[in-house]
Amino acid sequence: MNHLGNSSDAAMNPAGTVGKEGKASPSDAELVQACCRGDKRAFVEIVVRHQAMVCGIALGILGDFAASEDAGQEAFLTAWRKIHELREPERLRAWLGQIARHAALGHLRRTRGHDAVDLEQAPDVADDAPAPDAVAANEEEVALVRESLAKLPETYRLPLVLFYREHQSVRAVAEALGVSEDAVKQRLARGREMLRERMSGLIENVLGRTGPTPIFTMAIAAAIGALAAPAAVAGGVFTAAAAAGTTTSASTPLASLFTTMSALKTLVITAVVTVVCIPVGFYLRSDPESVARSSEGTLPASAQQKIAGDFETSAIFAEWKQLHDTYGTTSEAMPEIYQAIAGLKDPFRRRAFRAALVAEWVQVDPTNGLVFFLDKRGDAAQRGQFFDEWLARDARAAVNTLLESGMGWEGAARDALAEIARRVPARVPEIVSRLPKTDNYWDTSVREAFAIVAGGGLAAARAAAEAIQGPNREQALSGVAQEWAKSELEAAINWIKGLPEGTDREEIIRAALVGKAATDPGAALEKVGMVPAGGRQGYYATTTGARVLRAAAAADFDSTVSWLAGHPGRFESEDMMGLVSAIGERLNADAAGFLTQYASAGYLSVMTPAIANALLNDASGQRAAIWDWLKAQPTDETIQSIQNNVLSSASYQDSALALRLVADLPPTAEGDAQVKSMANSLLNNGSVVPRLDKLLEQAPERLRQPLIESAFEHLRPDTLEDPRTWVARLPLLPETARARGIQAIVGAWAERSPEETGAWVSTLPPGESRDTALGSVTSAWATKDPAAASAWVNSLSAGTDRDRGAQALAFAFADNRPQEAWDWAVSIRDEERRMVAAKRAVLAVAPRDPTMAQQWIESSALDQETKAKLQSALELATRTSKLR
Amino acid sequence: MKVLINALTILMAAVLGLTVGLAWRAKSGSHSRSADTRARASAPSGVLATNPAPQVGKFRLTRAHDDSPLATKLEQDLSMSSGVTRWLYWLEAIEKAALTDFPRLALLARGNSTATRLLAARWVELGPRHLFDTIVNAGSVLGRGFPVNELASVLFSEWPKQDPEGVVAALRGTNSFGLRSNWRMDIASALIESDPECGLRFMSEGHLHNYGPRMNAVAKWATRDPLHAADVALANPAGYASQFVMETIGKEWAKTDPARALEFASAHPGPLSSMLAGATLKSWAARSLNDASDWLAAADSATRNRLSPAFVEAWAKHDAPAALAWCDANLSGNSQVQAIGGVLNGAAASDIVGAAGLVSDMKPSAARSEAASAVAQKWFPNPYDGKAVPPEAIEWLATLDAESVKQALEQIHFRWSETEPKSMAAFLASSSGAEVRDHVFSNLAKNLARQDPAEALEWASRLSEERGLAAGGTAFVEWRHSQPEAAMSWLRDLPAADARRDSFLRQAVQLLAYEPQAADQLGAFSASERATALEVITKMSLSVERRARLLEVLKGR
Repeated sequence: MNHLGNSSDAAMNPAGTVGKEGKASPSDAELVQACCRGDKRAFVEIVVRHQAMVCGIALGILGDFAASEDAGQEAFLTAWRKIHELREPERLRAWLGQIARHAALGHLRRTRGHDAVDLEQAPDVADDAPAPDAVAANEEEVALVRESLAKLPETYRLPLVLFYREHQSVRAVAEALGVSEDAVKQRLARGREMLRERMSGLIENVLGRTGPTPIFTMAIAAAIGALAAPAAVAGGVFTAAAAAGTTTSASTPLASLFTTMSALKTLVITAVVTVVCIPVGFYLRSDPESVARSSEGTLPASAQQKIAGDFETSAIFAEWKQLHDTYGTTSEAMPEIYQAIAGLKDPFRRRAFRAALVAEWVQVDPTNGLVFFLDKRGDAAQRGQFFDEWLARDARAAVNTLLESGMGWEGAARDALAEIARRVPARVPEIVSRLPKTDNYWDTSVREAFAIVAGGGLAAARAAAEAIQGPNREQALSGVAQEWAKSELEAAINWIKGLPEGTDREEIIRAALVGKAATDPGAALEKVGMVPAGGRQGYYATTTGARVLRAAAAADFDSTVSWLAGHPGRFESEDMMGLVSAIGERLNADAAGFLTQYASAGYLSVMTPAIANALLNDASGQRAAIWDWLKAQPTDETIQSIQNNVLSSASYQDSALALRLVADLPPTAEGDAQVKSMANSLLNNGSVVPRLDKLLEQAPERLRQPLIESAFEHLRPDTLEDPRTWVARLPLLPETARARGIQAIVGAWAERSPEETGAWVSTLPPGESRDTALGSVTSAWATKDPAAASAWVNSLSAGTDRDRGAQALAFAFADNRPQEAWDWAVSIRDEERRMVAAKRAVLAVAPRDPTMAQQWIESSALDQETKAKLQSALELATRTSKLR
Repeated sequence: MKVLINALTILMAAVLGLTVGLAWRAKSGSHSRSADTRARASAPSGVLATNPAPQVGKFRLTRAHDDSPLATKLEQDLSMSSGVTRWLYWLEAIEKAALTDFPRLALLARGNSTATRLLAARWVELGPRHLFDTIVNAGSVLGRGFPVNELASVLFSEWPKQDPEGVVAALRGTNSFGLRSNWRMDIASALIESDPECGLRFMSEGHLHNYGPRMNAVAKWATRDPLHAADVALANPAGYASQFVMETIGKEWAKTDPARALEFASAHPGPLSSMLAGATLKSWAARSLNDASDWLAAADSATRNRLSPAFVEAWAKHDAPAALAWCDANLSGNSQVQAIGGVLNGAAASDIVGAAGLVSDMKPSAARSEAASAVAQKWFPNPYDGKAVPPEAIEWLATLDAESVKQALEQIHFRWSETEPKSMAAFLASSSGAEVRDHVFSNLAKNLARQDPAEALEWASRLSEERGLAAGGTAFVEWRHSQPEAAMSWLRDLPAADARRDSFLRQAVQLLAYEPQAADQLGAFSASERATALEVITKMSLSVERRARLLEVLKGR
């Protein structure tokens, strides 16, 4: 941008000037008076006039163009709030200079606190827009200027910066700094000497091009609510900016500009104005209420006055004030107010006042407040709020005090570690070194804190993590790896591989992969196979695959799913649990839409394990919606699989829905299988058998028989309740299933009371069922109490029942009581049963003591044919045993 | 004249630009809000005060239609305040808020847990059903940023205290909302705490069988009317919760009328009544051993056998040898075995090393195995305890007979293999392990392979052939899941005669066949591997469609 003339008069106009069109512009003093009457446009004019000076002072102190504008904005907002306190309006410029200096120094203090680890690496999260210097000067120039300026003492740097920012007006610089013009000249000369000649030229050029723009002015105007008359204000801003000679306009007076503009220039300027006004319009349209509110705002007043005004009609404020009137606002009053609040009956007021008191305590006496809340008198949430408030207010003091507080500091430190890392990263290594090992497997506070520290300065964080010893070392290294891998996975992995022996490198690589997944899911997924599964069996979604998938899906769900579909077999079902949360969220937002979208993309199949889990957990409320969608789809394996998942999850958790869904199942063999499976799930595979009657009352006809059969199949001692109920239910079973039903009752009942079971079995009609039941009850009884079981079998009348009982005893005793087993076997009258039982006894003892088995056979009264068969079985068993 | 024309031209340009900007904003809708603005509004006080500058340098996007002027005003107030003042603004706004203001206030409170809890508590006071409906619809209406979980947490802890039936009715009347299963646990927990009877009914009807809520309120309920409490608990079975409830009732009833409690249990046979009886007798014996002993002596043999373990467990806490002697003298068979297990449970609770010594002194028997199992369960930590396995516990286990080791490992193998797979592997490798069941080895192999597949396979190779193939196969399958290329490469490098080559592949195929992308994976197999897979899958019980698809892949290439 060309310098079309000297702008010093327009830039500083303390006494007011007369423009070429004969219209007198107000003096600074007049503008101040107008501001005090609430004229916001007057303040905008002040901003236009003095922004170069204010930002120049900030730049001289901070040495950073972007930061100088931040500090400049802060300074003007302070000025707007306090302008009524300015007693000598004509000294506005000097007053603004003082405010600018304070703002910049405050900014410097805060920035140093934040960037103690590595200033150069700190990300600029506050503003995505290009820094002002980047607009008008290239990076090399800016770096050179920044570096050169930084080497100058402030005494010479400030005048130098202001001189070029104020368009080479010594008077303006003198006024801003409150020194004589001669002094300014001397300092300028000395400052120039200190720079090499070549550098001086460059500095002139860059400083001249990097002054605050009209956007800066607009921001201030917006902040003070001066945009009620948009066109006028915008026009004023740009007109004034043009007059001020900033980057968007020439430095000649307005009329002169308009007069001398060529057609081409007119076209260019018109285009520029149009484009610049678009975002202005966008902003003006965006918040009419706030504009209206701002317009209604009162004149600047002290904060206390404003608060009192705001709460004049507030009952809650009156009560709050009453507490303070009663107990005071001193440090000693805080615990008393806390106790008084605890006595309030209204739970809302109790909670509310406690929250306010915590904030007040931080302001009044944080040190003793911390002791109070660490001393278990407040709960963890209050302790958390207290420490958060203190961190926000004075992070260094908060951390120092916490570390010196002794017992109980660990929990508070761990909870606040991420916030500490953001505010005072330099303290994180020390805290982590002192923290004990966490008992919580899921606790990642150290890892997350180190990731934050590494985000602010990788080299320092890496060195700090490597130096940590003790139980938190791997988490610290993992945090660094996680952050580093976001941008340089290979470098991070190489570093991990070089870590000393004894470090769990694979776990740190997992953290790196999780970090990478957040920025480049595909690249991270490709590398998952670098390390074994890790995690813990039975701990949900803790494998490498699950952890990386979770991070990848959070970063870019579509590309993650697409990658999975293209890489079959790379992840198994347990890994896929990493997708459950993302899928659940999407199903809850729009189940049908989600399923339609991914079915058409061909990705549904790969997601089925995660969908199945989501149906039981995160998206359990969407079963009905998903079922409706499934019904409208052509059946294939994937659709069938999800259908079955809906049916089983509904059966487990929502029987009312499950019972409704039965009607939708086709009358086919597959449908029957689904109904049977639902019956099992409705009874939770047996664990809720006692609720059978309730289910039968509500179940549709098609489900009743499967429910009854399933209940009998799943009978166990702990679900049997009253056995007689189950005896009464036997007729509900089809003829073909009754024998199995009897066995189920006997199996469960005999575990609990073999005597009662035996008595019931004796009442069964003769036949196969009774025979089998008798064997079952004897076996169960023999396991629990061999003597009682033997006595019972002996009490049975000779014949089939006794033979069956004796056979069961022979089997039950064969392994541990071989002699008794043999004796029971040979006591059986029925030849076939006797042979089977005797063979079982012989085979059980043969590997341990074949001689004994031989003696049994030889000394028995069995017929020769039986003996021969047993002898043959014994020989075979002995040979096999030797082979083993 | 030229001045006027140029000025007019530029003015027109400015008006044009402003008009375009206005139109652009109007079209972009009112829903988007600056995350920065929200974050700043909800950040702890002081954040804004220390760094106000960046805010004014940005365009602030707020809604064109203001659905809550109160929230809008609060947002503005918060942006200009700090410390206690911010909280006073919050309190003022929350107290004045109508139900329609709360969703916006909740968005404003996001990231500030204290403010969120505060406004949620107020919201529950004023209109719990409104909050319920809001969070039910939050997924689809309010978007992902709405603090659903935080609000639900307060709603479901507070609402049941105010109106237990109301919350149950709301849940019944809503067919569809996300995270319901988690919320049901929260509701159950709060209901049990405020109205145990209602809570039990809710849990029973809702099939909440795997959840154990706190029992403070149940204890008070049982103190007031234990008979009614026991009746309700029996009529509403709810898995773990019922077990805890019955135990709690037993403890409380034992303080006032233990004999009546035991009589009730006898009249209602079943597992829950057994728990009631056990807890009652245990508690009674702890307070008055002789009275409990007299009652037990007078009971029928079945009752005596069933309840002896509970009785001696209480006794063993202060005199384990006497309790053991009583078991020897008064019980036999399985009852004696169970009771000795109870003795060691009690002894281990007060002196684990002493209890281990008692087991060591016993002769190998079913009773010793039961006792060893009881002590091991107390001595070997659970993974979530965050503790290491005491070396002396491992040494003690190694001194026991094979049957006792087997039974103890049945109970502790899962936790041991999770906590310290390597020490468990060393233990199994150094003992014969002949009696130990195969699944113990397989489970360990799986856990080892998750951390170090090579070590797991090497360990399996040192086991007997049959067991080594089973455990090694499990380790291989686990390895193949996480590092398929490396695992398959290792397998292919095995000598052709190595039995593991065929066995491991078969085990892998058996699991792979159920994976969603099984066909794609089988397609990548070599010809010989496909032949093996074909053989395996032909014999597997798969759905017709899946089997056909997999066989088609295997035969087609």
